[in-house]
Amino acid sequence: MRNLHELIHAYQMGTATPQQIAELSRRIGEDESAAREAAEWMLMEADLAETLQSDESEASKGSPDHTAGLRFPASHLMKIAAAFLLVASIVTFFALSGKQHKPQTPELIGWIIQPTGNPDFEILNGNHVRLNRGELHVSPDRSDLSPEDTVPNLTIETPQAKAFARSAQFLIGTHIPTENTGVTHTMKRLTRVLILAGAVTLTSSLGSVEGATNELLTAKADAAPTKFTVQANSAFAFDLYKQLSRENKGRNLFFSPYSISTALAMAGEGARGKTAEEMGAVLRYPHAAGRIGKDAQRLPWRMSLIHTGLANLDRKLFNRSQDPEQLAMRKKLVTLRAQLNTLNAQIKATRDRKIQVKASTIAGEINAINKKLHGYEISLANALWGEQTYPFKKTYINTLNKHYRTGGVFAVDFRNNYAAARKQINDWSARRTGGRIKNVMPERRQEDAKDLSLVLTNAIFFKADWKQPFNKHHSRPRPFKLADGKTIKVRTMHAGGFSIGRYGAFNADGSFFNTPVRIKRGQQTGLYPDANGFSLIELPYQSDDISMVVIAPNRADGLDELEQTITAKKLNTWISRMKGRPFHVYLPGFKVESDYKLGDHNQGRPTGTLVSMGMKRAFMKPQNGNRAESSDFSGMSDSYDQIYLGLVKHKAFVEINEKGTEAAAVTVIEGPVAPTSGFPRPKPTMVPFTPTFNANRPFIFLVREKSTGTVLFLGRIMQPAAAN
Amino acid sequence: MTAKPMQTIDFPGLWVNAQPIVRSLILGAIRNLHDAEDILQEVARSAYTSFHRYDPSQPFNTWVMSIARRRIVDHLRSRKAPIAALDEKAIDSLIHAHEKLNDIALARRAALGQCIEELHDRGRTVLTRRYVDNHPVKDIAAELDTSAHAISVLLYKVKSRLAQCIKGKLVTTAEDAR
Repeated sequence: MRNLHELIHAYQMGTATPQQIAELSRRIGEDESAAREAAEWMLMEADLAETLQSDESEASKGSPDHTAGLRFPASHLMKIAAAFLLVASIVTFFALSGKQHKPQTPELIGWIIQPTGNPDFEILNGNHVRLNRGELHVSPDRSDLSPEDTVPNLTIETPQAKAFARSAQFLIGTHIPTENTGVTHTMKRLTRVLILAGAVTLTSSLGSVEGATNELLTAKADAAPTKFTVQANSAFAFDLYKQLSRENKGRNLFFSPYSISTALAMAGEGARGKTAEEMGAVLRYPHAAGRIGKDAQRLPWRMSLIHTGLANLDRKLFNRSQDPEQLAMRKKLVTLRAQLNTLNAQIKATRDRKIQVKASTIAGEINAINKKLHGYEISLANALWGEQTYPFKKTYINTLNKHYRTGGVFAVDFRNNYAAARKQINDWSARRTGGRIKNVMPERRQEDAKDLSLVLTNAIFFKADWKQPFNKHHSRPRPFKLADGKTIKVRTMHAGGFSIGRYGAFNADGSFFNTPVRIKRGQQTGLYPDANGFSLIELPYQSDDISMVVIAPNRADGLDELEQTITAKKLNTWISRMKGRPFHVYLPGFKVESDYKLGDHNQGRPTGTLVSMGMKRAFMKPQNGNRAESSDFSGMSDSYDQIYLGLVKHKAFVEINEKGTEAAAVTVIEGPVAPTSGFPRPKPTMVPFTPTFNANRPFIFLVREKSTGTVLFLGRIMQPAAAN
Repeated sequence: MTAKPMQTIDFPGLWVNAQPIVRSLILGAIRNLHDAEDILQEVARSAYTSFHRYDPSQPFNTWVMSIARRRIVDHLRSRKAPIAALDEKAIDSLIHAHEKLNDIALARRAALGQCIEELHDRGRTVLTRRYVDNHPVKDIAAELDTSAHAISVLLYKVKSRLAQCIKGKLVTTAEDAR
């Protein structure tokens, strides 16, 4: 039997090979005694956590009480439950009859609690329970209430969350998730509520989630919806990148995955059935966001989780920029700059000493304000443009407004005046992107626009200065090797001994390459990974929260292979391995404008990037009200004329130069030369080694919020503009 | 809700009794604790909502295990499950074996508690880190300044010892009871 235990152990640890698992299945399936051995082992495994925790609870508390770590047979548990009922009845009776009864320990009023397993819980008062560990079954008890009484609200508090219930029946538990962040060794738990009947609200530090019958709510202490959303967005970002890469071979790419995910989440709120399922799968919504129960077919995702996560991210990323004090300072800055420009022009003309003093004072004010500003601008805006005659569901509009601040619905007249509606939307887009994204809505004949009922828009704008700007005098045309082997010259920025970023080199298989800190004078080998490896650098912006990461393979034609293997998870690992050390950097400045048709109804034959990724049904037009094989956005409206997705478009703009990065700006950049120019060599035999990152070949770049890992912008440069 | 009031009170008591065995079965087959907890909740929900169809002449645990079986198989067939896992014949055998263990599940847990107290400190430490603190094996290895393989072997040896100890205590208890 020892071999069988080894197989089970390996299976449970996740180290068993497929052959071993097949062997284990065969033995358990064919031999009754092996099945019993396996079951005994599994039962022991399942009991280990509870038993060990019970022992620890008993040791720390000293004397056992009715909550901590006692193990009773089921019949005793039933007796405890019955005792609770009896005591609760007595307390309720005296409370209702107005007699002066003061129970020794608090009892619940209007509720029954039955422990499942071995929970550690405490009744704080008549409608407040603290659950430290384990699971409880909770149900209302009207037996001691008069018919006109309502069951009082109940609060159950766990270390991660609070559940508020009114007349609901549910199971609530705190459980240990499998993943461990690896950052600390603090025990991580999550709170789950399975609602059997009624409604429960689960609130954690990161938001509230409401649930109804048959829903499973989850709250984690450290992450809750935000982490799910970041993971989904990151995974989707790289799926989309790979698909766009396939569709645009050899061309520059640039897009904002964050913007696309947000807009599709707003549309997803109105999706039902298979349409919603496909959308969530392509958007990589996690398993934890999936619904269970008989409604799961119609509503496969807990969109409230996704919306809460995105809203939390918005607050974290964008609220700083919307801070009233910051906005006031920026406004003042614009005024002061205009004044300074005027004064400088006067100084040139008159050389008046008093004007010079005044200009100097204003310049001082500008510098002082700049120091207080966070050093970057970032904004996000969402809007819902609805045909004025179309009956949208109020719940849909309210949900979008609550989480995405759409401000309700902008009523437009698509059916009779598409041109005016188009202008309104295009003006809105241009205003929200500093004038960089224009004409996002295409021109159309009025006849072709008459069926248009809904347009969802998301606009994102980012502008930030480098924490360590590049010196313009060091930028010049330098060679850039294309993937096909040809070389062109591009304007390339250069910084020797860049000291505030991070650098990391990796082998072809993604393993870390230990770049030496010191080398022998004249050493040429072992400085970089081999030709199939790649390097990463991180360049911080003025803000500590956001940085640019650049990934360059060692071979000019190596980007294709890197793109096949890169995932959000691998990228996070590589980023975490980067080290802060000086490095030389050569980076082309560049500008990219892109325009992608991500999905198109195409007269019944859907095409586009999202369709290729599996989101086909959303673009299928219902025929004669038949939704069997077509889209279902019935969550948006009860109208018989159902909405489908006719077009999903994405326009993006980026400029990178010596000063920083802007989603809209234009700059020309030259190609790189040989490294170490101007960097002094020390005399000793062992000399410090400063690696060089030379992006003189196709590379990937992304703008990323560091604390959450949110990818705001993602792109690649295959061919920067040639220098004149 | 069509169930009689008495049945809604009965269900929690029956579920309280069945839950440890059902949990063990699901966790044993699924391995991933997060997924297993999801499935356990789903089984609880399904059992509750279809409780009016439960035939009291049949053991409750057998009935609820059949619900668990469907959920386990559905999960293993879904794309969310790992590729290699126990097959359906093995799961059926495990269900049968778990049903037979139901009557002594609580006695086994009590014996486990006693056996844990008899373990040496290092064994308890490793078990606590793995099953209470939920640390990965490599983190435990780093903490104890050894290799991940050594920790895996130690875990196996400790659990084997516990398994033998439990058997011994149950035999002793059975003999005392005669």
